[in-house]
Amino acid sequence: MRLCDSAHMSLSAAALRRLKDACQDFPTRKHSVHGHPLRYFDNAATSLKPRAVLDTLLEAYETCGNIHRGVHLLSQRATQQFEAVREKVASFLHAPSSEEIVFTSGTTASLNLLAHTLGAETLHAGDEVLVTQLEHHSNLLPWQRMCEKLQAKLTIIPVRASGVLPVENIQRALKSRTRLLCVTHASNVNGLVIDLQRLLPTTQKCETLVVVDGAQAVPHLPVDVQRLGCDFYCFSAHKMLGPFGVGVLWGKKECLKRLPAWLLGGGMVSSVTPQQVVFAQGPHRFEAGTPAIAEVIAFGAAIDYLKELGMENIALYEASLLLHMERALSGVPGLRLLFPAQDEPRVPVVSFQLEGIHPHDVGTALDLEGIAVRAGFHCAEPLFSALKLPGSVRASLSFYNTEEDIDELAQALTRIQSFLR
Amino acid sequence: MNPALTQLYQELILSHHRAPRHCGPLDGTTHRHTLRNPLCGDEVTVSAIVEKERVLACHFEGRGCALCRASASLLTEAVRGKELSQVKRLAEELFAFLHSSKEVEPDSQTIHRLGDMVALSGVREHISRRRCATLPWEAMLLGLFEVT
Repeated sequence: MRLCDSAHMSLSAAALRRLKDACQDFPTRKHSVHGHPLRYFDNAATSLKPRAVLDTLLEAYETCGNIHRGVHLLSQRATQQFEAVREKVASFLHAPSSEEIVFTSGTTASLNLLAHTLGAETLHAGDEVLVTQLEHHSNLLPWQRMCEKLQAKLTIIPVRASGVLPVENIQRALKSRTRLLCVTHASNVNGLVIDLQRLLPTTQKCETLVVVDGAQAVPHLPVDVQRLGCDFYCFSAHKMLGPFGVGVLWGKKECLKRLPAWLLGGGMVSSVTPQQVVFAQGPHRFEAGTPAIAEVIAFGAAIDYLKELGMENIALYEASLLLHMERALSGVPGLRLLFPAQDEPRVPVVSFQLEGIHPHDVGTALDLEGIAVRAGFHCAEPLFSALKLPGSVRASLSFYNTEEDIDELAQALTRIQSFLR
Repeated sequence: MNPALTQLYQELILSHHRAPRHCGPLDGTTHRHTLRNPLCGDEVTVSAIVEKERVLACHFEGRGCALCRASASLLTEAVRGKELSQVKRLAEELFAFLHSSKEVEPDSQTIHRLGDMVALSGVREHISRRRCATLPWEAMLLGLFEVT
């Protein structure tokens, strides 16, 4: 039996009830779009935000000053709440210390920070950087430029035509000069989860640093960075119920220590003379300037909310929703699931095509029925070129989606299919 | 069917989408240009035969959504036989129309000059889809006036 079939059975009655009621907590769900109730399936782009996060954001703007600056109450309060979120993130990731949590503006900023600072320290001419064909452009372009600058070799590990990338293929690609492996934890196109726990022991033998793009995994799965065994893990708050403009770079203490400071400015120094600077230690070294303080504080509320539901419960519940969606979509005439359900672990992201209809026409037609999906290449153009696919429609779920949402999606697609073909 | 959907995908648009006119390579092409919409990866090539400042024939090729294909198909009919200066004015008038507010009704002369292209009016309400309709026209202008 697959995980999804057993999902409802594994959840306690109380947990199941709480998850089914969770849709009430998201004010956006009460909005209508083009005169229809909103059915939101673009969670892989950004999640909806629960009321608790919105309230905390507003309160933080009302009650907080700048951090690490003033001796007055508003500044102290901001500092205290901001640093408390660093602790929450560490605990959420099962990281050994909050000193390993760097706040950035998002996954993209975290990955760019790494590509800029890992450079000369880690990579020499002729060394190799490995990425996979599943990567989002954010986990490809920074490494492309880094390799060009340092005359290193960038190798892309191909996926199978089914969209699956077996861990063994990644293991086989590791060579003695592979210094960096940059890999997604879960694909934003087909939801495939890479089994990092099985993959990463091999990289330790090769002394390859491993950077993980966790943007699509963290909102759906329990993540334990110590068990995964990677060196860096990057993700965004806004895809996991938090505000826009906040991201996290987690790095092992000894790995972060080796990185030089990147953006220079206020808040990241321990002493400054006109000629010299001594940089602060720990995560603050990478947090020059005023960060998105209220947003970080509200991100704390998002983590509290997810913890209250329980990430294990969320994973089980979403797996059952995913199964329901795949069954419903399979009944739509002319619909082709691009990466049909395998027994691979996946987050609830599905890509499909409607025969003879361009993904953007499907996207617009669904929008006019109040249904939000994503159409196109999903910032993963190399994957689509490799599989010779002209783009897809993507429907991505969260636990606050209902079976009714999914049935409406399938019915709307059936209507669109007969109208636009 | 949803009225907003039938307003955007009018019968005429669907007819050009399903059976596009002048779709394919054009023998004796004198002007040609390819444009890509990075948002969706759609790509349109417009080819034309121009003699004595007049478009004798125009074809398009490529892949695109229903709006893009219909617009390209309409273009090939609209520019045939026109002088280059007329083609340019027509494109400018179409762009102004597609960027206008849906609340503003075009005057009868504009409707007359735009002809069948008025069927593209639905994209005025869908900012993210405007480029689908303008892409073939942009390719045509670059082919005729900036690329030799």
